[in-house]
Amino acid sequence: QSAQPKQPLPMGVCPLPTELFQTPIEPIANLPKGAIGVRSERSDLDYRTEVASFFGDVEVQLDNQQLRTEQAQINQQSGAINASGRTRYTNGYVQVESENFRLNSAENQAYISGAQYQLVASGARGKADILSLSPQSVRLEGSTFTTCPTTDPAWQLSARTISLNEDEAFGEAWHAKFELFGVPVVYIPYMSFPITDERKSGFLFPTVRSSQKNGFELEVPYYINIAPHMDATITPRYMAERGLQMQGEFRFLTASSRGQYNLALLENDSSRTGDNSRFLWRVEQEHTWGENWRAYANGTFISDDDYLNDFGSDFAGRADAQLYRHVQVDYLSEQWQVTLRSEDFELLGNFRSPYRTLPQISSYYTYTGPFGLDFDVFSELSHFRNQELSSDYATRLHLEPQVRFSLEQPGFDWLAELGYAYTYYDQNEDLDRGLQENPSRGMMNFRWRGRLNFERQLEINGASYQQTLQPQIQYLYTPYRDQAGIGIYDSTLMQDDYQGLFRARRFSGLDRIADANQVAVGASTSLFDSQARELARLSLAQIYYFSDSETQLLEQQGAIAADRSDLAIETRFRLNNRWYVDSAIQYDMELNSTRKSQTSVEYRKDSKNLMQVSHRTVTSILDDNIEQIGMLGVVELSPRWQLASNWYYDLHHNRTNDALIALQYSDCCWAMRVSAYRRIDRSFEFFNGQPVIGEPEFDTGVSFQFIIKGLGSDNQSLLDLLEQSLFGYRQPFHLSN
Amino acid sequence: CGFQLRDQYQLPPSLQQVYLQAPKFSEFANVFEQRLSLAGVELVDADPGLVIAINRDELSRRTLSLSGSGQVAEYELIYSVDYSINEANKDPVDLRIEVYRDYQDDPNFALAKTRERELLVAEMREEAARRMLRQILAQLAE
Amino acid sequence: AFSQGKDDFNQPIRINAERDWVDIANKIVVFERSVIIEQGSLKITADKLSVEREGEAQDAVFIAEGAPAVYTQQLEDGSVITAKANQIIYDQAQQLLTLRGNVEVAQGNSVSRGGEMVYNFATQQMTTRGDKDTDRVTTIYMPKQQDDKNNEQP
Repeated sequence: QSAQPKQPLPMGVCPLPTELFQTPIEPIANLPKGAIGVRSERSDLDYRTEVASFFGDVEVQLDNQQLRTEQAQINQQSGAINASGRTRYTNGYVQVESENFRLNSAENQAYISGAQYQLVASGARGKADILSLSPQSVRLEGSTFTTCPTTDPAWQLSARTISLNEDEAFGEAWHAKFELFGVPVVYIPYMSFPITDERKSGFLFPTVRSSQKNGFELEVPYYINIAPHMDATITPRYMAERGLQMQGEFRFLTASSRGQYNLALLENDSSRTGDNSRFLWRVEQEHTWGENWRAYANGTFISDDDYLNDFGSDFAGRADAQLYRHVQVDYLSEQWQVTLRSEDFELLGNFRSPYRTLPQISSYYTYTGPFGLDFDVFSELSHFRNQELSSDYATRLHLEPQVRFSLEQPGFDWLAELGYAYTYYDQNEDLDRGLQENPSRGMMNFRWRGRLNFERQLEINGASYQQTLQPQIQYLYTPYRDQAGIGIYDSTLMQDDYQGLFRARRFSGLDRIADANQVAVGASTSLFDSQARELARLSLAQIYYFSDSETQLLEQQGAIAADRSDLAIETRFRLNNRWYVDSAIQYDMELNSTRKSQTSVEYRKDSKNLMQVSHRTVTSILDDNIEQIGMLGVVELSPRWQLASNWYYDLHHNRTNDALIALQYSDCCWAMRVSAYRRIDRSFEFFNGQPVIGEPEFDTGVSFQFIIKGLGSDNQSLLDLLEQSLFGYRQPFHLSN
Repeated sequence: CGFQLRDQYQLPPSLQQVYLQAPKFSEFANVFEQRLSLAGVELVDADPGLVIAINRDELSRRTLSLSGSGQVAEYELIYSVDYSINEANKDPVDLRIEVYRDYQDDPNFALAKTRERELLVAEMREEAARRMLRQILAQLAE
Repeated sequence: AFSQGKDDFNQPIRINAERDWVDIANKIVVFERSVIIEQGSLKITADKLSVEREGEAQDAVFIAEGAPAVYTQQLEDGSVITAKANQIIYDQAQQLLTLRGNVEVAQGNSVSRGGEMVYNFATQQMTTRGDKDTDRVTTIYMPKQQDDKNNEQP
């Protein structure tokens, strides 16, 4: 049994320093398991003391442990092995070089003093006054730890005790001093640090920041591996202007359930007077049981509307205007989908108070009948409650059977839907808003959509391409019903981009079902290269109204008098495998103006070299117009230096919404990131109850981060840093429906 | 101008019988199963010509533009599907589909906008399923 | 372990072989072909044995040769030591046992092989060295606890 073959090193980690145990020992023929094999130039056996001494290039083997030394004594009685002189040892997990060695083979415990050690897999290394080894773990007293191969490492951890375990992703250190370029920087009584690369995601390294609002900031995460399926991370975050915020996260994962609980608490925010305890807590939990049942809960709660803007969070964007919380139970089977849920909102700022669903039970039954017919019944029972106005509540019952015929052939596909929607309300009568007590509404709707698939081969200067043309036409009929007596709980006018024009309904939710007698016509054409990669696509569509649509939300909002809708155009093409252009336009034929347009040009060599410029205009949204341009770029100056920047400028309010520039130096065992940012600082001071929505101020700051590498190959490109800027931030969403 | 109706799907032989592997309760798996059966692919449990494994589908959201008050005016929804194709005696191929849609946020109609987002996500799943089938056909044709 | 060997050496020595002859000039007695020497629990089998007597105490030097010559002796704790070598020399006067030529000694829970091995009955010290063809000594130990454990297993 020789030492296991070396696993390939994760990419991007330091070149492994020369091994302490270069040449593995020739395996001793038929050495039984648990037996000690020794090879030497001379051996002396003293039968009285039963101690055998070996001299001259001594090689010792015990299962997967190997020892090379100048002199060794083995006590035949106890199996204890002592070695002296230049000694090298390995057990496949750690390699050690020292002047002496003591192994008690009965309990498989080895003790070495004055040792140099090195972990086989990650190349992490250091010295230890006393090193004790048991089958999977190493305990180092008076020791150092680093992943830098050079003799004077860029960073090093020196601690009274370090414990490393083969099957743990994390090592632990007690009374540790973190040294940077030989200078002790910080003393840490206890710390855990990743020693393999399947470390917990997210930053686990100390971060130093400074900004106008928070002043000097230091954030040091502690990862605690409680059990194989449970872990916790405690992250104290000191801010000079505000104080010490404690952040905690607890996670568990079992076969049928998982949960994550977060709390970030700042007792008193010294930058504020009056009630200044600032906190965010969050719960996310999921259970599945049986074949068909699933329960899910997710909610984020904050102390005040400015919390996200001042502290940021992994769970919401800094500029988000609302927090969505929900709890739900699903029953899913082949034919049935039933969901019982309750939803709640926290709005940041002064907005119309939202409706909660307390609860809502919806079911969807589908049955595939003969001749390509599908029958399905959608039903929903909801109880809405206005979050502030306790008198504003309603219960709604909705039933919608539908028969659907869909036929799909290579050349064409068409779909016909005939349905009847019946809705009954039990509302609190409110004459001045014109709400009846028990309004009800029933109407049928019919939809027919046809699509043709055309293709042709093209030769363009020698290369062969395939072009597809897909014209699409949809007729929609829904009779008019007077719905003025019905309150508006979950309906609003939906925006119509290319796909939106082919929807069956103009309003979301069920409180308003618009009358329609219209035809939507569109076509989409794509160009594919010989490897069937889409090089270009152009789609345009428009609706022709045969009659006005009178259904509206409040005061004429959403009614249609024109005879044509906006013209929606989308185009995307790839100049070559580095240049991409992407654009979408919504053109209002009546006003001859562009309602919405978005264009972006991207040059992408790889994930470390890309540049994107984008321009976006939207008219009349949140009774405001928007015109913004954005630039995002990452460039690799050299294998070690990377530059990244993004910049979003608001042309309408002519101000910079968000700007960031970051420089990263990455050596093989450490990396350093310096970034400067300027972003909107939206605060909701209230002036006698009314929010002061003036021009927002700006916060500028600098962030410095020292990243230990080689412990886990943390060679992310700077792109992920950009993703943390306001516009790049991708907040994960639960796919509950 | 040279266009004619596409006469038949060039369904490669391995795509006649497919086993679809997906996490439990995967909404996307239902949508994609429907797309496969509409395109004439037979779903089998035993010795399929091809195994399509849906590893993960994920929805994330990115800020696109800010309103006057500095709050988010528009979001971009990014729906991504990570899947792999395992053909008999070939090593599996990992692929990814990303569908983007932007939508306007309006805190005054919080619940209604949530319903719109849910409808958008359903449409993005349909689009992702269509593109995934086209990408599989292209991949098998290679 | 070898201590008991001492009493063996006070026992009478019995040697038998198919043929023996005396070289009077050199005062050597030679035994050949399937030679067996026994003394108490000690037993040596070899192809050839030559016995020299010298000095006034008439202490003998036994030189056994074989392919290999085998030396076995029962020890105090009941375990048996077996040693094989091309040549086994027992020098009564100096109380030294020397084995030469791919030597292998198995005793209790250890087996060691080497080129040359010398055992001193007085000090009970055994030294093993390599020689020109097997330059290294190899020893394998099964630690005692391991043994007891093995015995316990049914």
